Amino acid sequence: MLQSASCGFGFLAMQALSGQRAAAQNAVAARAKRVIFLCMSGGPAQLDTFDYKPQVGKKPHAGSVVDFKRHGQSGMWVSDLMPETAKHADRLCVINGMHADTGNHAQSFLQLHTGEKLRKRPSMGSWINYGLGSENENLPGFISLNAAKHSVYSSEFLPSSFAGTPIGVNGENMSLATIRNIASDHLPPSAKREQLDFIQSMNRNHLAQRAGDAKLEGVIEMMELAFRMQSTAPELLDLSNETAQTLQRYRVGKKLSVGTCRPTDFGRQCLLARRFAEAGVRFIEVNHGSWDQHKDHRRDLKANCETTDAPIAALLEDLAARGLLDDTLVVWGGEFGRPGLTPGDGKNETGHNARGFTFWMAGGGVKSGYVHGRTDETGARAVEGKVHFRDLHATILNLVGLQHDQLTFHHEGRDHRLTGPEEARVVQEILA
Amino acid sequence: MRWDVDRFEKSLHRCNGCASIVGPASRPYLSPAKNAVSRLARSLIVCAACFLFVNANSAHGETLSAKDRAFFENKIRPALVQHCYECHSAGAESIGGNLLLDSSDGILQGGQTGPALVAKKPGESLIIQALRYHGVEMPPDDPLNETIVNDFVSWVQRGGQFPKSIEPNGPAGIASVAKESPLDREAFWSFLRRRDVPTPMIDDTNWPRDPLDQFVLARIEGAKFTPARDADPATLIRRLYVDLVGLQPTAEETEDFVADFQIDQPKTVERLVDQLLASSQFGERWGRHWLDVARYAESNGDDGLGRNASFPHAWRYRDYVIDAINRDVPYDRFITEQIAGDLLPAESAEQRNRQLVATGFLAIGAKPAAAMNKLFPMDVVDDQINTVCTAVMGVSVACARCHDHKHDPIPTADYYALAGIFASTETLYGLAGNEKLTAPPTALHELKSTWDESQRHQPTSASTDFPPNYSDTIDQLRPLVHAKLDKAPGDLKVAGDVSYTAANYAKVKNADLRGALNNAEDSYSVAFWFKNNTDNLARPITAYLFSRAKLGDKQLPGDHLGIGGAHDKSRSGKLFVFNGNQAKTSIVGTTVIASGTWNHVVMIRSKNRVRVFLNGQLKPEIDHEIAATFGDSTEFCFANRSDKFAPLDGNLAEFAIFERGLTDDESQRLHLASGQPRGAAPATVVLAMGTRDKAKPADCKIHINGGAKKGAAVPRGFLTAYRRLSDEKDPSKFVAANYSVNADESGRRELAAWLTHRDHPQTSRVMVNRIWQHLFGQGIVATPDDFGLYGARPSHPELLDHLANRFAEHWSIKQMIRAIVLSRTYQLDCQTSQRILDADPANRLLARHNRRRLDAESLRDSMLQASGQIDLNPGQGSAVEKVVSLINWPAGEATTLHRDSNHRSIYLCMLRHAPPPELAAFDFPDAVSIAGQRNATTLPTQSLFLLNSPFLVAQSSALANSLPKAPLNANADSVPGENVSDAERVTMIFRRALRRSPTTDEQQAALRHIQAIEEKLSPTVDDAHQRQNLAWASFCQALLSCNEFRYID
Repeated sequence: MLQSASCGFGFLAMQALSGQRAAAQNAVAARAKRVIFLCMSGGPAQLDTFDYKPQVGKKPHAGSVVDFKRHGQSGMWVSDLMPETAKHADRLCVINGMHADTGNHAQSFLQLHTGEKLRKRPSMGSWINYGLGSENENLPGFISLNAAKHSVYSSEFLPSSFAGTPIGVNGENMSLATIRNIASDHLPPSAKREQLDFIQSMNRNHLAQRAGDAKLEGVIEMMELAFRMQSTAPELLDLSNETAQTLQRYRVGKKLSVGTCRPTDFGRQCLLARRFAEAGVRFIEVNHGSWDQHKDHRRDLKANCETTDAPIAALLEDLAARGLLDDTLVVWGGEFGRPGLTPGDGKNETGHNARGFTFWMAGGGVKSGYVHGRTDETGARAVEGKVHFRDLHATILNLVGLQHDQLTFHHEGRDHRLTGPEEARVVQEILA
Repeated sequence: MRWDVDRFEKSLHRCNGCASIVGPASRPYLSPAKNAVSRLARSLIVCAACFLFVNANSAHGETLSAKDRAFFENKIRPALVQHCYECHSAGAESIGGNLLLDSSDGILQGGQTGPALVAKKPGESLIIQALRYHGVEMPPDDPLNETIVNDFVSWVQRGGQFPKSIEPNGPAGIASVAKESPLDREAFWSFLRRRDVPTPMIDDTNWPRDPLDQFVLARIEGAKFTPARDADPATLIRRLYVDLVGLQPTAEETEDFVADFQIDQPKTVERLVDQLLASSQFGERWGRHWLDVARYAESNGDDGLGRNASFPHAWRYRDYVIDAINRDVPYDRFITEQIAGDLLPAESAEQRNRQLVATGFLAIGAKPAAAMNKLFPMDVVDDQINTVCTAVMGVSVACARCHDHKHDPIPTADYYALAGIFASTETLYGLAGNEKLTAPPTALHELKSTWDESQRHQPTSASTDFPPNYSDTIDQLRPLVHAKLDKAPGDLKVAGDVSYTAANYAKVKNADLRGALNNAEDSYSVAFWFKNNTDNLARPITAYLFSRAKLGDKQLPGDHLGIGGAHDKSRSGKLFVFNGNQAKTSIVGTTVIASGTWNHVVMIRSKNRVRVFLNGQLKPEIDHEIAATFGDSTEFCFANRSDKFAPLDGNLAEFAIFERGLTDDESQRLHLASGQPRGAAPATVVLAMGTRDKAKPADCKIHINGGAKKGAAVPRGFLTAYRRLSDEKDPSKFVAANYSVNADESGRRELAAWLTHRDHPQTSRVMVNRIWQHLFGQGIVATPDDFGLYGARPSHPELLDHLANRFAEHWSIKQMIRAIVLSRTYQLDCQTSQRILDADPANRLLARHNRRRLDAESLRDSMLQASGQIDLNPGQGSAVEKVVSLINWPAGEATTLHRDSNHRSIYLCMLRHAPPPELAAFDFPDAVSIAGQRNATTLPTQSLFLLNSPFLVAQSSALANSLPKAPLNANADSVPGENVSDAERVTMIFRRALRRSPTTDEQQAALRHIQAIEEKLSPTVDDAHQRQNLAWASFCQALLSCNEFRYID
């Protein structure tokens, strides 16, 4: 019962605990235990990455302006700018019919994370932790690497135990970023243990005179968890035990600054994501931006692809090699996509397109080497297999074993859910 | 970045999230069981009590079945509101095709193309054909998705009926609440007038001390229980200290109290309570409770674009609240000042200032970036409506922005009646970081040291009747150029329309006079007389007087001295210095210069410091660091700006320019020698956030679905539910009272009067409940910010009304607190029998007291107290009082604005999303919305704070070092007077941290701990003194971290 006072129990466990067997049985079978979200902010150009739109007919039209090739058994089209990711084509489940409500960065970015465009709502990582509880006793369940802003890792009205723990906020140096108060050097570790033992003996004496107080018991347990975290978290953040070859595969420390492409040390983020996934963190978000290639599309696109391609491939490779890809869902995408350029017309700037764009998933419970949905011939809008953000959220929740219309939280007089008040649909077609 | 505002606009205000979210369509609200589950999840974490679920299905006396109604409310109405009502509702500006889809009558009658719906026959219903894009295409821009269309088909099959409650007025109508329905009256209990309840009969008549005890005991006896025993005096004094002032009693105070308590219990307790209520620490504790409700913060928080602008003046509101609580300003007055302080009469400048600062309540809310939303002003209004209604009445009206409230009796019309009041109000929140894309900048309140306005705008009576030797005096200061300007100057190049006379000197209009210095040094001075003939509000900038800048450069590098105009009304008629489009610094003075008057100005640049003196005043108008941006240019011009923008229309005399920074004294001489009277001293103006009425108050039109499209205007007014819910026999004057809003004012005064009417059903209930909650850990109503249908019901309704009635007699917060803490109920022990624990785990019977954790502020303050570091003087100002910027920009710069401070926590800098690190771990509210109740989570990050935070390490070390040092070894007696044994030191530290002496076992354990730490340190720390210090500090840290320190019984 100690855990119940802390962050251990999720919504599902609670349902079971309180005798709501029927409700618990309604839960869908979990295909994934955790999620890694590769958040590509700024609106990645789907037509030059995963949604191939060659020229058809005589008249030039908007479409892909980089070369694509077929890859793997599935023969999936992948842009030549993603040569390493392309090697994992047979692991990808590409969704080409994504659409969103607005082509405005801030709102769409917020909607992608929370289901809501302007009002502050819990982030999907918080919802999933609220739903499932913690998998690791020594770590927070939701970690947001290189977080852009508070609203994307906030638990808002959900209990704060489900809030994301940011590591590296607002562009700070990722190699120095850490968890607040995770370490101090005022005492050596052995003395700290001695100190904690003394604190705990005081606490137990205090509790003995107040028998049965679950809150006081919870504190005693939480002191131990924090003590363990002190060694677990810094160890996870310390990459010195990784081989040079691994660091190279992930391109750790590579910092490319070209146009809109910011030096995000994306390789370090991906490697940390793998390590946190191994340690049982439920939801890990990594961030790279900006794909908002208004001015010099071709140059900035190349830089963004170059920065992210190899680290993502290394992550997929490692997850697969360690058997983690079976129960880890990897999700790639941004707040919207971009319209295509027309070859030969001399233009090199792109805007926003929320009517049709691409996400891909890999691992935990989705089909592999599979393409779902499509946009029209110029990639301007989704025409088949349309998937809205709320459908995406419903699908992700489904994959981790949660029903989007059942996972609710009562706040300010009404029940909220990640997918909002409108109907959301689980994209059954992509489930393995 | 490109802003797709229009497209966004459409989707933004569909009120996503307002609609009740429901799983299966057959359940309009969560089933009780399900509700209990989600509540249980919370209750284990926040210890919220479970409360009665009220099934509201049958709340409306209508013919639709609950199932059909739920289907309509959850599937059909949101779609109608979102997709159809922009054109097809009574509120629409022009009704499309003459078709109304907001009532059964409307839809059956149909529009130009005939009836839109044939009940139970979807195939024959035009509405379905249109939704399927067969023949008619509706909605015109984008077909609805199939799920929604199918919902409409099902609805038509079920009969296509509208629930009665929204007929016939649609989204902008008045939700009719059936008066006769008993359940409604239960559900809307807080809207009904308070009852005068007689104190109930009880068996144990010796038990109660205050009438409130009788209400509590009656319930306990009714459940066949007995209350816990009284708390022992040591427990009680600590409880009283923490609850009333947020600090700890010392061990000595505790012992004295315990001794006195044995002799005369009532008097001892009363004396302590009165002493605590009178101390200035009381306002710092209870003021903080109100700041939680007021969503107080000193920065805007994430505005949606990740920007977070500072609020440099917000701290004045904090000080206002502390002061008002300490003076026990009656609660009705307290509320009135915060809502309408700027409109209230005042007898002194001090009172006027206090009332202006109070309105900061309405201005400190978090705002979205202007670029986020075209309806930005309505977002500000929304925050104000929501804050006022939730804080004062415990009623959320936010949903009614877009549609009639679904579960509380708040129609959209009420929302816009209130919106008219706030839309007629100008919100003064300042420069919003002075950055693009944030909230648009506004003026601020100017607080003045003199109240008599008539004295302030006296034009100087100066003339150009100078003594004959005036020019010579100027020359004695060796100017580079001196032009008397009674005739054309020899040393300056004159362009444009200039004429000269002996009496009026140079008369200029669209002219400029140019010259050059010998060198480009960053120290120079300029002095001259001027008369400006342009009215101060006639154009954006009234006039530019002087530029020391590269002439003609569009980027305007250099110094530019001008007079503010209509562009920024807070600057109209005041001198300012601007240093060009790159550096963008612009500093303004305080004196308003009346047009048509002669004035003397001296501007002195000494490297990066610029001072401007006006009319011989000893105190400069402007004294500020301003970067010199003129580079290597030596040019200057006057009567105009360097790019010929906003030339002076007026006169100039006795111009002199110096190639050095003059001293203050020299500046005085330049004026003194003129023989003219010295000008009025520049007023000391300090700025504050707040509100004032707009010049033309007006009623607000309903915004259809909360969007840009507007319907009918609603007269300014308040919530109407009370009148609709009142029964005929209600003798209360409140319902009958007529509060018509004065057409010339916003209506905030009337709103405040209405809210604080003695008989307002909610105002006093909500506040006594807040007070009760802070003293007991839970409210009589467990949801202090929600007294609506979905809020909790009072555990003791009669007690709540009894207290609320008492409170509304005098509105004294201190007296209410005093009565409660002197009651028997408050003074009970936490421990009780297992039988009661099992029967009433949530303690809804109040048969015992609740054990509570020190909140973030009390924890930090108590640690500072134990370490001896606390500074109980009020903290002055704020770390951001001079910071006008985004606090987290540019990217990568974490907030470093917090300063180390030993003042109480309420004075720390409260930046949204960047809270003080010493408070952040312990459920400190984010101040984005009202937080009448804080969470009390137990998290590993809190433990990490205790184990590792620099704050704890510093306080532990300070506590260890504050005691006499023990000798290094037992027989060393080299330091006289410090011959204190380790055991004695352990006792001292125990008494400092835990306010008691240790038991023998504890003392031995502590000594063993210190010894063990010293041993663990010996391999790494060579110095014996240092080892000893660290070991004692470790012991101190342990005491500051343990549960006995952090929890109060």
